[in-house]
Amino acid sequence: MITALTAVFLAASMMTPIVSLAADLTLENTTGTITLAKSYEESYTITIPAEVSMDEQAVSAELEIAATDVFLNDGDVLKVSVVSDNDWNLVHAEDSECKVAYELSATGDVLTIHSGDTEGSTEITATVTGAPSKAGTFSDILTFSVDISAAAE
Amino acid sequence: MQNKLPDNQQPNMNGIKRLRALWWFKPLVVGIPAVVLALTIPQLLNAKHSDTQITVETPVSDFQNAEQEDLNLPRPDPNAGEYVAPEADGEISQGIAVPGWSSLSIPVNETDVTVDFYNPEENMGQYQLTFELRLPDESGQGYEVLYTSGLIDPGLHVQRITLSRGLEAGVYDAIIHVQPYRMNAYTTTNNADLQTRLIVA
Repeated sequence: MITALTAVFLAASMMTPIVSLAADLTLENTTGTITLAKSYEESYTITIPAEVSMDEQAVSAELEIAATDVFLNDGDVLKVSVVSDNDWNLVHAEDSECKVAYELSATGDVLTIHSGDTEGSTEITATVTGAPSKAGTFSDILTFSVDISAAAE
Repeated sequence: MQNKLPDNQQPNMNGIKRLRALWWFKPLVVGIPAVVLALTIPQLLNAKHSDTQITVETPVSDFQNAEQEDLNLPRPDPNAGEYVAPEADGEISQGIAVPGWSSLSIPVNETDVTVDFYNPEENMGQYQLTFELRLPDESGQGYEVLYTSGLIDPGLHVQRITLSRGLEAGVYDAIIHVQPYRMNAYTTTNNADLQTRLIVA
């Protein structure tokens, strides 16, 4: 009997960091329940493009955003949105005053992953809408904001 | 007294009269070729010695081919055509893997805390990451920095960090700002703001 109880305690200690015993075990009371529990945080990995960059002859560029290893609670939603550091202008690499306007094919939440899905991806197009005044490479810095929230009812 | 030619040797006066009527014919016959030669010869001479290109729509003769070969001149490129704008020719950059969490748990009033900020191995050889833990202020325009990491290589983790101050118990809306750096140039790229709940208990 004591050997069996010892085996149970040893097994419980190896399995999880959280163990609770719902009874005091004695020689008279040899049964009880053990609650094994572990909490997992919601987590994910997103893949963002390193940059959006074009030369003076380019008209557009494709950007891919992906989410993998998505681990959500039931009913939660992962959303990815994007903002521009330069107010949606590509800035010349050597002249910060020289800019070319551009726009994305998608705005707001560009990628949405619902609980139950473990991955997803999307492609958006950055299209130049202005005209460069000089030759060179133009680029912008984008910040991708990721938020997990309960799905709207 | 003038001897008169026999009738059969008499000149055809009608024809002569016609020709005399065409008084402008002789100068025309002589003058036009002369003018053409006068205009053409100088141009031919100049074309051989000047840099001015004169386009003449005539088939390339064997003589001209031989002349090009002798002078090692370039030939018309068979691939030349009108400009066609490409549809999407902007640079497509390699993606950067960024880990994220919905919440972080830390103890009350403690500055030395345990986390797991890591750089995924997918970024191997490409990007280093830095992590910065920010507490937005009430206005949402500014923020307080609780922690900033150094450069973390792909495959490595930072698990023990020191906050700038301890926090009272509660749940705080925080941002983990992840900034990638190109490993070959140490220049910044696009970045990520991970909305996170900081659970202090």
